[in-house]
Amino acid sequence: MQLWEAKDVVRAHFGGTAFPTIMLDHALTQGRRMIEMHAKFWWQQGETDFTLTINDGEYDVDASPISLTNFKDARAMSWREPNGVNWEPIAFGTHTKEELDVLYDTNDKGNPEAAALENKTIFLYPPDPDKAYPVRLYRYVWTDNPLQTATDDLLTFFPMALIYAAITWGYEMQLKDLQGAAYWRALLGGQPFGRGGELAKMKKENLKRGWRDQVVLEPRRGPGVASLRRLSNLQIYGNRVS
Amino acid sequence: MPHDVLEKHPDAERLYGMDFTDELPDDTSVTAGSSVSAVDANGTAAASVVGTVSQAGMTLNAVLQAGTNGQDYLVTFTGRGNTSARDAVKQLEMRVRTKMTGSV
Repeated sequence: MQLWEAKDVVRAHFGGTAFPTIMLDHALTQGRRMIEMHAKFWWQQGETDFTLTINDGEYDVDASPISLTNFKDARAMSWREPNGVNWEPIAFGTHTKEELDVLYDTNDKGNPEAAALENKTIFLYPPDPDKAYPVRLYRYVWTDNPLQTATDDLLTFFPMALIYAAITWGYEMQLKDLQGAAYWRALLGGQPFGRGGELAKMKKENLKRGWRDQVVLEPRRGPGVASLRRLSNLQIYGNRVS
Repeated sequence: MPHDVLEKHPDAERLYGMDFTDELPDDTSVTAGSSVSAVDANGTAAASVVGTVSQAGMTLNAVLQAGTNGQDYLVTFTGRGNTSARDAVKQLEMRVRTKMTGSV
């Protein structure tokens, strides 16, 4: 479904001329926000490359050189030598800033080893990069609706989610009909909100993608020593008998 | 909110007249200095949807033509009064659809 088709469906619920187009655009924009608040979806992923400044270990995500005004969250970071071709990982999110402040001196120099995100600033450690290292930030961003005659993953695979969200917003803000809004909100996210409806389907799909791509499961030792932890292994649930 | 909304097939050409009598009460006609322009829903100028522009008394006429299926154009009519030399602006939203929704 292209954006204009979603717009026409929402329009049809409010009358062709009763819902000003500028309000309709707001409804679709806020509808997308309502959806994206519920998870870090796959279409929000991406990467941004930038270059460190020597002796500068603090970078605002919404300012140069990162310039991500729609930044949502960070996933990972890596770095490479200025003329190198191999990316090396930066431990990102594994330590808090207060821990890293203690671990590193304020004038430690070198390539980036660790990073922490605080508010909208990325702090790199050691705090003084000794070279202008290229850095790659893997991130999530808040997304915008596509152009009028274009589509994206949300509109292609879960168009009703955006439509329900936009209609919910319209009922609340335009019609001021909170009971009507509750009906559309339930279609979007069930009750409790987020546990059903289109949102549940989307989060399930999102989890499947994340499960395959990002989550690593390691068998744990315990009752089933040296064996995989799975449902068919009854030793997990009972005492070892041998 | 635009002053008017119309839905049009991409192949259709429509002569649309915007009346400025109420907006320019001190004038008897709009001049050749009046203009008609259009932008699409993305804010990009869309000069190709505006054809011949003419004036008749207090009405500014424009031929509205072509357009991309699914696009919503905001057409701006700027009428200039012949006596007051004031500009008045009225807007029209033109929705181009190959399959008419019939809800306008």
